Amino acid sequence: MDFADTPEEAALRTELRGLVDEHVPDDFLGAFTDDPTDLATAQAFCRLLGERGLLMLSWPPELGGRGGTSRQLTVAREEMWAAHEPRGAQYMNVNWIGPTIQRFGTEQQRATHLRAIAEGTVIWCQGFSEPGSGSDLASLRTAARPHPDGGWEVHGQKVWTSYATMADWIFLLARTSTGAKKHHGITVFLVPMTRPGIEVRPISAMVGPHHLNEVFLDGLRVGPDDVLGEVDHGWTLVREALAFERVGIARYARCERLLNLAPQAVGERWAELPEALKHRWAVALVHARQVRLMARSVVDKQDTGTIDPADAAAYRVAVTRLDQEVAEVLMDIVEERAVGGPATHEVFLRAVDDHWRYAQAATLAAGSIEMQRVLIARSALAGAR
Amino acid sequence: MSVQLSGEAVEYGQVVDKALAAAGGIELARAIDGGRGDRQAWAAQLDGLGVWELEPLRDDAELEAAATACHAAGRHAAPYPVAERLAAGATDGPGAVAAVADTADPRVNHADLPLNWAVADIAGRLAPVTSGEPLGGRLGRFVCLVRPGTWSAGDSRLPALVLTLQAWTLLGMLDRATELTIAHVRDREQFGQPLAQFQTVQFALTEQIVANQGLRELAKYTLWSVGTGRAAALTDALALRVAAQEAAESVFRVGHQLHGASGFCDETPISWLSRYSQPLRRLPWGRSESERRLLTHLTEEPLEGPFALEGARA
Repeated sequence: MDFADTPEEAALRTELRGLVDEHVPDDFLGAFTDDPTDLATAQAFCRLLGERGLLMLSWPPELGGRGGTSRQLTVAREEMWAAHEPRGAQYMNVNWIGPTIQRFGTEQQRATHLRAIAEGTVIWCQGFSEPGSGSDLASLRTAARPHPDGGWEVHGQKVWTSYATMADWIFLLARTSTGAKKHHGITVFLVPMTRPGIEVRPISAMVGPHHLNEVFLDGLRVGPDDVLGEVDHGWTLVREALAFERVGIARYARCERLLNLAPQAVGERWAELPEALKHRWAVALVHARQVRLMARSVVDKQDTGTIDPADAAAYRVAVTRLDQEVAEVLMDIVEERAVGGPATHEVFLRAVDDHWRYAQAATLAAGSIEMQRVLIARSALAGAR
Repeated sequence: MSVQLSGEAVEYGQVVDKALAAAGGIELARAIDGGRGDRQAWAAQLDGLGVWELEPLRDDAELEAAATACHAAGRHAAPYPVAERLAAGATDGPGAVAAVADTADPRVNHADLPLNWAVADIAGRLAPVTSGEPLGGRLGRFVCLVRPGTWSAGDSRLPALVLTLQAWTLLGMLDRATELTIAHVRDREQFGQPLAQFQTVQFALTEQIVANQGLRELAKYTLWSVGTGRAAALTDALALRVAAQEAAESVFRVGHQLHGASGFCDETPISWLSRYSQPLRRLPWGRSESERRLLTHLTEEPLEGPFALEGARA
């Protein structure tokens, strides 16, 4: 066993930290704020990463990547999330939209999308959840009905669609037929957001702007060229895409970073904090290390083809709970300054505020913790037979 | 660069596990506790497998083999100081080493066994000990009061090694407790269906599984850290101990609850795993003291990792 970064991994960390230091302002807390310069920072940073082959790191050079290993990809995920994700919405391109199009796309789709994704010039949103279909995603009802002139006409509604207001494209799930099972008859469409028939309405929420939107689809026309994979067989792609997403966000990295920063950030107040709180801080650091190691093991097992889906689910349960545990510990550490609007110059306080608000969604986003538990239990009970 | 145990180490653990299972498994722990078995005879079953010839600090292969042997012993409730004997190694010097708290009357599990015991403090100093007879009691029948002799310089890696191997033993107990719980909820029927069909039961099971998985990954990391001989290994071992104690609380709580009343009975294996886990969890210190010690170490030496403070972006 060897848990140290390889020289290549260490060099990648150094390179990414150098780029963040140079190109991302110290007070950057993510692209999704009321200040449009934050989004502009992220977009410029993505192009910079794209030029260096660092955005789609794992892709071969001819596709705009560096042929990086999955471990290097993990390093990049960690570094970016720890630095408040200066890739903005484009982390989704990296984590699953790009890989899914690469795997299932036609030549034309690959030519249209892969280069733009690798260059960091395009934002995608995912048209998955609906008002009646959350965890039970396969029950989705957005309908794509055959149109007399060819192709389909889409009617329905998506909800919780992150970044829809700024997205160029949507990875859209719609029902093209009603099969014997609800997983049958779903098709994936890749659609530009400028096409008539799409209306986006932001949902105001405590996680902050741009995270949640409704997307109304009313007479949206889609054709065969928009279909990713096979008509009616989109669920296969969705499962694959969600599997990519399960190890997607390295939440533990920001947790570790903020926990490590806390004593220095609160200064003299640290000595006066209750011992019980310091114990919680120390234990949270241990949990963060455990979760980082779980992620690494999952990536390692994916590489060797020995992964059990329950391993990834267990990691997801652990990482999302960690996110919320750390949020509460940090809020306690900053004491009364947790509320009432942190002074803008105090970046750590603002980071804690941001972390707590975003962490509330951790056990829901990309599959609720309850669904992960179902997956773990099913696997364990099946294995016992 | 793999983050998994070597295939040889995994296989070795399986061989030890099978040997202990064939000899009677947890039933032996029950017999020994009832005065119908002998701890040294239990250990002698491992003679032919080379367990007692292992030198964990010699190389990675022996270190990993020692860890999987401890894990296998834990799966059978280990009525013997496997981790402590392995930590001492097979060469000259003490035959078993336990870490002790700096209290007036330190306690060591199985210290009455003729193993040429020594105790280590957290700095790695060693002292021979004289031991009293086992104190008895339902939780840790073989825990003894010991009196340390003269302290002298020892191998500074020893405290981290023994704490880590003890955590591997505990992990074996937790893995087995979870397996037993899964088997029980599949077999036991209430309201006309197996307990496993109830989602509330399934969710409780996932507490065990997630706890075990998190502990296993940390146990591998800490083993690697100890093997490198780096100074951070002691802090890492304290972190592992904190995690192991926390996981044990969670896993045994769920295990007892889902076993129902049968889980407390002497005829039920989880009852013995639970009892025999207690000395590992309470000695040399319980959970709060482990956390306090970890906290003290952290103020001087942060947990290493990519986001430790050095170079962190403010």
